[in-house]
Amino acid sequence: MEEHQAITLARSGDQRAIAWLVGQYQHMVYTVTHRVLRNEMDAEEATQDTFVKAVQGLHAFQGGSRFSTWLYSVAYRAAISRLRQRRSEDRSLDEVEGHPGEPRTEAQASTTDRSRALEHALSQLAPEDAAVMTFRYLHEMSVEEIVTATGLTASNVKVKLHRSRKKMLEVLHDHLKEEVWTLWTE
Amino acid sequence: MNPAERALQELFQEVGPEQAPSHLQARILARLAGEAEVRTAPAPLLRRWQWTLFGLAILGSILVALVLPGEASSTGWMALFLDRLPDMSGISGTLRTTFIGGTLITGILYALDALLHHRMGPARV
Repeated sequence: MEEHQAITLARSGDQRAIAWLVGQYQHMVYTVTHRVLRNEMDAEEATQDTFVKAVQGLHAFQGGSRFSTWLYSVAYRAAISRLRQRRSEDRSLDEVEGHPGEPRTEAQASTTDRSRALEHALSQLAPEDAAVMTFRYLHEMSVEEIVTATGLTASNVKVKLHRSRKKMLEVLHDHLKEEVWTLWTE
Repeated sequence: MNPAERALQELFQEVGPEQAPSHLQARILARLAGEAEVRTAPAPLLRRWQWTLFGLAILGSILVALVLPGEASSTGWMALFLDRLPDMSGISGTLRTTFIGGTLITGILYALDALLHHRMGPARV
């Protein structure tokens, strides 16, 4: 099944087409929500919210951008909305556990594994910035597409990318001890 | 793109997207099915034929109400029919207003019911 065909069929309520779209995008959407929320349960909920909103609002997707960009914008907003909700709840409740969005300590992330290093570097960023970096370097979205997905201004996106890149390269340099990361941080 | 930025992109690509839990797709589809169920409009309380029957009964009543005051001018089968009815000439004005009002309200309610049913329609999830 091709994407445009699945979208057309999903608009008319075709369950197979909807299942196909969910199957195609669940990991990418989950990645966005998890990098914003940094909590599996919240990320799952936000991913579910994303697909429910996307399927219900599929008629609003006119094909002016890539479907993935449109879907990620729904995911980003769902995750940010849940993050704000959680922050307001955190303020009113005494936390029993550590804050799920807290950066990990050095000891927790002392592995040289590249996957863990990336995860650790992302955890040093603000949740919104981690999503922007994921859009740029994992989803390979242009600045214009990130603007569409996040609702931020182009200059804001560029500033976030610049600062986050610098921060991540510093962290990666500390963790991976590779020459390539040094080129930027020196 | 400088080498460090390229290395950053390669690292993102190498690690790839996070793996959603294996049960997530099933949960999403179940939730979508649940939303579809909730969004399914219930059938109208009264079927179309029931509304028609109801409307006809009221229209018939109005006709009767309209001819009630003209007792003297009634002829033929109508006069025979009216003779069997109780004398309601004293309250005919009230009855006429009630029947016409009732018909109007019935019509409005029927239109509203049909409109709501049409707008909600079957689930399109």
